[in-house]
Amino acid sequence: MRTPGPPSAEVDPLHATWSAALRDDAAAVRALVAALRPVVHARIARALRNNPQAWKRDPREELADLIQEIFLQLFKDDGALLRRWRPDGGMSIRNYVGLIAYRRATSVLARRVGRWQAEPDDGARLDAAAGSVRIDRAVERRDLLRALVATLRAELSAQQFALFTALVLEERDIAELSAAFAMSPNALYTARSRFLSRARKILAQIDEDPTQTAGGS
Amino acid sequence: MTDDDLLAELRALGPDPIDPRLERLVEDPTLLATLQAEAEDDPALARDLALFALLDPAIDAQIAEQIIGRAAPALVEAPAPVEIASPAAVEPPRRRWLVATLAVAAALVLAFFTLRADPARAPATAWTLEALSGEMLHRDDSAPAPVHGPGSTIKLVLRPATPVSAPIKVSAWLAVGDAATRLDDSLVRTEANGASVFSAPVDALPPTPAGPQRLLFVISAPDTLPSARRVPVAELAEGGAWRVVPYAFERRSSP
Repeated sequence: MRTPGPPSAEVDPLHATWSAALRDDAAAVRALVAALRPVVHARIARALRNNPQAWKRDPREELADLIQEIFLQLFKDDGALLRRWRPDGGMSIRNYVGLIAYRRATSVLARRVGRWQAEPDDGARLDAAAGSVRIDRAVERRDLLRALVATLRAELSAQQFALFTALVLEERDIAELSAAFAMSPNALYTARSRFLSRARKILAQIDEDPTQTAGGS
Repeated sequence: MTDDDLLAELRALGPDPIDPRLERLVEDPTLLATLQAEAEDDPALARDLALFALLDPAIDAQIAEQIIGRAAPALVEAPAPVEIASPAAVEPPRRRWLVATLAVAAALVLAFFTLRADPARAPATAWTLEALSGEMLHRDDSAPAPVHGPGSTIKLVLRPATPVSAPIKVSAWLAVGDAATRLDDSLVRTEANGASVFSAPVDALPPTPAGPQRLLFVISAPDTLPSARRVPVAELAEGGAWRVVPYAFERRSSP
């Protein structure tokens, strides 16, 4: 099995489109939005699903509004957020944007809950009294890591993701995995180290997002 | 954070409560029928499916057109093209996405603004100007003003309330005091329907003292602009054959 490594700019099919869109090429902007919107949808749906206490309207309306808002943020300031994607950063532009969308949606929803707590209407006050209106940092971290795993699922081949699951998520016995994946123990330890390195690289890239506190709804 | 820390966190995650097929659904519509069938007996899956089920693909075009400054047909209340000499001026519709954008401090809708329009020649529809960059400076005695300093880029989108069908020219001028200097045409890109994007690094503008100044966007038929590169501001206002949309901002000398 090929050991996991970051995708290169040459193999990312959206690299040229991304580059042209940042030069204000209208056709490229259209193509990039069409290509990225599904993953943005998926990650924002995940954020909404994980934070049901932060929205009250029809879920499809919440979803559409957040998707539009986050795309505008991606292209704001001459596409500053989009420009932060690094081809050697451990993930494709699609999954980079997906994780950015997840983090920003979570941030918007957390601020909204904060506002409701600060200035509660009757319903929010009742929810707060019941202790349900709260986005816990630990829960937020756990959900981010789940989004990271979803990103790796999209980045890795099915076989690589199966290995990641067995090695990292499930901590299966090395001897057992050695037989199942026809890899030596040393190769398995190397693969685990590379999986973790890639995961850390992805998290670091997301953590560099300088505009986390901007925006809102 | 060490590898061991991250490994411990990942191992503590437990199973993902979200069915992985839901995230694949947005890319693979063939999963929808199966998920819908299962959701009939599974209220939790039905709730999740409401979030992950496919959206109208028209949303892609709407988002893209907002970004590039072209009014998407679905968002324009009066989609019929308007000749450049038409006297009608139509207010653009309220757009929910724009309200959301307003919550971002850097984004604002400035004005519908028309000066000295010649009804015979000037583009007659109203224009909106939206700033996609710039920090907001709040003064005690006035409305917030956008601020641009070295290293930043001024990015603005001009949109006609209704698409224009005859050729127009949008030129940008930097006005300080009583004088206006015409900026390079390459800084403005105009689409066929009149929507225009202005994008310029602050450092590429003519050097001017820090402080309040204005960009003036002169919208006209292609052959009616003043030929001089530097004119009194009053000449732009009194030209008659154009519309002027101003963008007032504070130029800062340090980032």
